[in-house]
Amino acid sequence: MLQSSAVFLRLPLPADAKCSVVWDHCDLSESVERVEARIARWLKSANDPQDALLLVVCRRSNQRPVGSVRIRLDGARFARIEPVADPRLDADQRATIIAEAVSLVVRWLFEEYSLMTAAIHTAGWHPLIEEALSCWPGRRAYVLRQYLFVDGRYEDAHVWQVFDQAWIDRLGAPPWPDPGSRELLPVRRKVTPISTLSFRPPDAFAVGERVHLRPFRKGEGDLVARWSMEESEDFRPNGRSIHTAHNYEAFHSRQARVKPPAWLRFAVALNETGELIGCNGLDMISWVHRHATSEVEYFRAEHRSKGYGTESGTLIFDHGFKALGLNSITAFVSDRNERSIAASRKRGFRVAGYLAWRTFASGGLGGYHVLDLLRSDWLAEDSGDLEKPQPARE
Amino acid sequence: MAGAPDKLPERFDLEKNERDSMTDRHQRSRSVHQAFLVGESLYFRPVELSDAASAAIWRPQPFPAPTEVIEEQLRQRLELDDPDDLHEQMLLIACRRDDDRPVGSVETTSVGWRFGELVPWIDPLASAVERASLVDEFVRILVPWMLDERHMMTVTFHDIGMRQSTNRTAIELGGRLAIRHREAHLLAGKRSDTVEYQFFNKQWIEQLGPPPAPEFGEVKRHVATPTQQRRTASGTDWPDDAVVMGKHLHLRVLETDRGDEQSSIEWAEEAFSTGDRLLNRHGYNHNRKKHADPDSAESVTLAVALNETDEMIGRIALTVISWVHQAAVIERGIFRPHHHNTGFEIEADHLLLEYAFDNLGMHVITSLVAEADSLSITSLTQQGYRRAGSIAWDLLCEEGFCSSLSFDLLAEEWRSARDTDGS
Repeated sequence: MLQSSAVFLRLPLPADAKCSVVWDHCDLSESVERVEARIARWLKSANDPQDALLLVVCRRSNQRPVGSVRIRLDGARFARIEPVADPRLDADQRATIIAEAVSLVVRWLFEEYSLMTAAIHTAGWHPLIEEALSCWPGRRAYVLRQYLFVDGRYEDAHVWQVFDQAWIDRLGAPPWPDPGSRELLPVRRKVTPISTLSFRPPDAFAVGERVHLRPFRKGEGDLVARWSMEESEDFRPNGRSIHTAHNYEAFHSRQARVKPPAWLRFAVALNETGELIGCNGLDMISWVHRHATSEVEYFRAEHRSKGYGTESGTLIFDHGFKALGLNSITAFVSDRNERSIAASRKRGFRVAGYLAWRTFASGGLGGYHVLDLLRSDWLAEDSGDLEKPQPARE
Repeated sequence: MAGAPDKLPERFDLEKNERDSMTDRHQRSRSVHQAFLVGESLYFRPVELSDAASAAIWRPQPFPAPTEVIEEQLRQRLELDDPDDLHEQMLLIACRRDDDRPVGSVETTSVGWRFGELVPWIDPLASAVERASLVDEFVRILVPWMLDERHMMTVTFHDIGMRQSTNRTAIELGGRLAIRHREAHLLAGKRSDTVEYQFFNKQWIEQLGPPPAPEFGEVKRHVATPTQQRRTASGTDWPDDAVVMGKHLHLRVLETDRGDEQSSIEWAEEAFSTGDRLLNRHGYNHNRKKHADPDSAESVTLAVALNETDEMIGRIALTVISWVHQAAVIERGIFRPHHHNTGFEIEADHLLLEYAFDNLGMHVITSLVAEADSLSITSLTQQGYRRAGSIAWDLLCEEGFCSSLSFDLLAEEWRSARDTDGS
């Protein structure tokens, strides 16, 4: 199990801390002691095969680690597979290790766990990886432009999705919906963030014509908890969110204590009354690769489809690119939420692809459209240097 | 016929509004009885817990935080054992006199009753014009206070970008541009220089003579020893823990069990034994570990080791890492004298630069060295660093007061030298 002629995979050992450079997913080099503690924590709490798993890839010839694979299982049905190979090796050597490791892992998950599908995240495209994954029905699900900073330059991230043939036989081929043109549209901001002291709520980080972004306030958790139970619309694949006041407030405080933060979360408030109407954020921030994923929620139906989302989106993307220096922002939009796809396209997001069979939804399995927005596209409008829209690379 | 009302509603009483001029509003300001740190339109006051509600204005962070988190941080800061400690490092809030609203802040530091530092922060929502005007007033209020009332020998004032108006104000107050780090700050989506103006107390100039002028190197410059092309491992030829590898040296993660801390302590004891300072082994070890393994990713320390024997011969670090601005400061120590002047300093620095620029995505690296440290100055210059000015009267040395020299190096300059000259 989990071994080929060249490599084998095993659980991490405390001794692996001495060579974390080779296999660790952490961007910053940490001392041996710190990685040892992390491995111990990982082994104790997180290495539950039903949840998340870290496997170290070793050469069979000398037993030495050459990489690792991080696996996150969702609902015993979907797997997110993130392989890394020794970053000190050249691209061909890295691709060889990744190709070997992911084909072992996919076979194992499909044959022993009976998973439906798996998404494999790799930096750059390499024929060896494509060849290794061609054993299963699958496709390149999406490509995120300039997503990873490797060896001093940005590279696209490629996400492959493979499916178990047995499930295709049962359910039919997974969809590949056309969300409209994949052409890159120029960024068109309808709202320009206000930059003056003449109007500024004292806790605002960004101000638009009708709304501003500010920190979540103590006491507002009660409102969110009440509104969540009063929700009249059901548009999320997994149903309406239920919030508790304490949890919602504690979450914002916890995020604010992380240095540097991995999740920036703002309250969206009306300029006129200061009233809270929603929250938006930049999640999964990588300060090395300079990317983040956007997320948003509006608590009451009366504030949806009124243009507040467009305005608050403009404010947070502007903050992400100009104040935080992010290089790209990704958005995942449920294929049941056509309204949001159209809105993202209008803001300049490019459709990067589609991840099928990701959720259960009304009518069967649902998927996510994946979209990306680059800093260069966003700033082009500021400089009046709008380039002619370029076709996406795919 | 109805006559004019005896009293107009206040908002329609234009005459009253005319009279209610800025002077009147100033009379109602909190600053009305404040005797110092008051300017034409601004005043400074110490930070209070209630300022947590307006942290977006004065806190130099582009990250939101709920009020209770800011209050908790302010409490930690303000609840010091000795109130006098507050005077060494203070956070003052800048407010408008006409409505008491905060517009920014300044962090003041006083070192040894002699050296002052002012690091201002302006409301990020201020327009460029508002920003320039605020900075100008900050300088006019704060610098004379530090020099004339607190009797500092010298004071530095940090700023972002080069503005003619600030330059003029600095010159008017007897200051000058001391340090300019190119592209070290991200402001409104664009890279801006960070600058430091330095001001001197006239009494001390009369006594000591004028301080030496700062030197700024050319942007186009010759790089005597550019970095080599990036090396890649080809199987098992690299030590397992090497992060980057050069011809003679590699940088690896620190490991207590291997005696890395012991090596550092032994070196420190040798170094300290020749000076007049005493080494506290426990404290030294604790501090090194703290810097090597911070919780907040503000620094990263690596061991410098020989390829041949794997012996640790020094430590090298990126400190004061700003992940938003992609800037950091380099610090390096090669332990033993017989490893000095062997090219190891330059090789270790280049390896750390490779790690900083190519692995971590830093945009600019700066370094501050004592004017007497000719070894480091030569090394930095040969690597392609540019002289970015100096802070005069910064250090005490045998000759009296000495300067600290500053250097900067952009990622694109380092890569360009590698790609054109590095073999």
